[in-house]
Amino acid sequence: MQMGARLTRRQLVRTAAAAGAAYGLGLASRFPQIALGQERELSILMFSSFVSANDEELRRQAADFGRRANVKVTVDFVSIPEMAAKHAAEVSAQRGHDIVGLENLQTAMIEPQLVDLDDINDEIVRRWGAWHPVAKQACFLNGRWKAVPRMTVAFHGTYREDYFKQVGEPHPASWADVLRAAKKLRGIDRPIGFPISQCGDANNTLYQILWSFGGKTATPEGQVAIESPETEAAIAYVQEVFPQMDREILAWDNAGNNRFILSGRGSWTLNPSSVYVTAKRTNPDIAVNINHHGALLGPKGRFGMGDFYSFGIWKFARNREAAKDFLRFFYEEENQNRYIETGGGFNMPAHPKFDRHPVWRVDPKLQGIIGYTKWQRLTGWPAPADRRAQATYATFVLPNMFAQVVTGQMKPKEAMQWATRQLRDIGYK
Amino acid sequence: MATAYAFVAPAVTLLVVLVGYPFLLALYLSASDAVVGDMGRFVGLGQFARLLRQEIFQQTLRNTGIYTTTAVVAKVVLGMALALVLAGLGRHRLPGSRLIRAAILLPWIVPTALSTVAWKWMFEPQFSVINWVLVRLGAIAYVSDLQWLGEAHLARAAVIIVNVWRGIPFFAINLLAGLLSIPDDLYEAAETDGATAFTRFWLITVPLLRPVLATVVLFSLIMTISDFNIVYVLTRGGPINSTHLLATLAHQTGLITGEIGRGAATSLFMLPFLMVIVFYQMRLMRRKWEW
Repeated sequence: MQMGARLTRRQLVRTAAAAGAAYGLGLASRFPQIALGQERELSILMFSSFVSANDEELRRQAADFGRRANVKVTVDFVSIPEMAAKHAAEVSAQRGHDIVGLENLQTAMIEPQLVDLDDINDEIVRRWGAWHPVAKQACFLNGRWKAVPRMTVAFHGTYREDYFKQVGEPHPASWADVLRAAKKLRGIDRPIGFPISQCGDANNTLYQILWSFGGKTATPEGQVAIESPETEAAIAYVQEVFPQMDREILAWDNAGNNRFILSGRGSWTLNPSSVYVTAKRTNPDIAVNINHHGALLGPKGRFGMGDFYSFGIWKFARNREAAKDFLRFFYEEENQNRYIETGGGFNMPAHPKFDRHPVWRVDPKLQGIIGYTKWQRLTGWPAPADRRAQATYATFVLPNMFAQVVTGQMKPKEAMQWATRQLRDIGYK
Repeated sequence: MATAYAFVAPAVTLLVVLVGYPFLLALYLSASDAVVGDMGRFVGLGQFARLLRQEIFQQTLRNTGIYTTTAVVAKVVLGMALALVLAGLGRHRLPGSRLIRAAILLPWIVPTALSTVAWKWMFEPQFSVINWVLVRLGAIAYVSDLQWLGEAHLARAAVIIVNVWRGIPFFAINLLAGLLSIPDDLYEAAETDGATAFTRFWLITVPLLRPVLATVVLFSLIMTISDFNIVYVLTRGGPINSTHLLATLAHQTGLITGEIGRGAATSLFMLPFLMVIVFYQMRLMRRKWEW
């Protein structure tokens, strides 16, 4: 065709058809390789971590495994909020990745779509002993291991050592310590803070308080149990703490407490060590004064919470055996050690064997959280890990129950009755 | 004849695949107890009946009503005011009037999620520029006095403000186009007869703008009632579910909790109402307007 010549409709159609045919032929020449499966493939869908080095290590291990097993491994990372939609899409299409990342109760929610992983878990337990209790709650469902535990992002205490010293308060060990310190810290305008709002961090904090005072949302049999003297005691505690905090905690999102401590104003919160990690990078003056503590003791015990992560394998995975082999490879001691090392102490281990990993001893600021996972419980505990527990978490029943009391909209008994109605709506008896 | 069918086939296929199938699937899911990974069984209108008994759903319906009504009325009033100002600028050929018209479209052009994040920072109590200005003006004593996203009534106001801010350009530009199509001689004749500015607006502008206004209001109703981004980014439905809209509740139920059937029923609850709106919209589009 001459440059500048006018293109007629017929010529356009002909050219487009030729181009289409050429492209189609090009694709066709590539298809046989894929269809014949000359190279085994394994794909992994994973949550992107706050610590990017951890993701890089997973990628490195996947590549290493791929070379050894002659498998082409790809690892795709998605953000945490995106994962539920990814699960729904892959389950609906019955196609997608082989190994899939699972957070908290997601394992229970898609349990029928996951292969049993008893063999891998049995091997690990034989080698190293039992997992932390929370790992079993999340992954062992209806008598089968449906996932392999991976790690937890723990909601331990983060506090300003200098402010606590200023008001003569020690390293907090109990909820009573926190309340006593909070009153003094309010006096020097360095308040404590935790969210009582519709965000995951609020759930992760308020469950700990509820459990430590002996309360629970439902029994192991699925009976609503939120109306109790224990819950009332937990509400009374939060009512007493609330005036010691800034009212903005009612509007916090998951980053609210991070901003609060990093602003230099906040003196205490419950959060993973992301605050400290960020402060080390952006504000060393604050970082040097931050310290951490483990699960706090309440009148009825010591409980922790966090976001628990595990690996599952789809029943529709194209390469189940390679997927299982990769998980075995990942749980070789050397690989686990490297994985935990690159987590920088942020991602806590699911297995007690690694509680003693040196990464929590290099930095003295992290020593207070060693072994936190053993106190941790899963959302909804002691009720079963199921869709109802997930709905309780996702609809923020607990934060809203506390919020309605501290904002004066309801009396504690009314709020507990309100929560009971919400839990019945969700499906508890 | 066959050629004609061949030409429309791609469009029909696209419609069936991208609109028809998802819509029918959503209809089926709303009549089932499907969860992620299990298509469930047919439960008829059971999901809708269960929704109506739920406190959170009742509250969401009220929220959606308040949100839609307030936001659309505010957009009509403010959009009209802006369109009149823009028309005046253009009529007097003031320098920069074209640039101003283009700039006014910005809130509508910027991706909602992005602009809402900026609003979130403005409402954030610790660093709120709005509260900071109010403190400087003496309207409040401390920056933390107004918890925009922490108090139910303020959070409702906040999500509505952002929706109005974003929607005004849509109204203004459409109404401006309508205003510019009204013949000047009608105003001149009215002015000669001694009509006041208000009379001219009420008896000439408003009646002649009615077709544009009706179409824009109907479009806006549909878009506002199905809004998701603003609430999702600003409040996630909080505090205490006071800002949940049907779309955000459907996302929470269907995806986060995995109850796809109930999530579909939540999002389809407004379908009959939206169909009435679409019916009137189609009638308006077909109707011949004369003056």
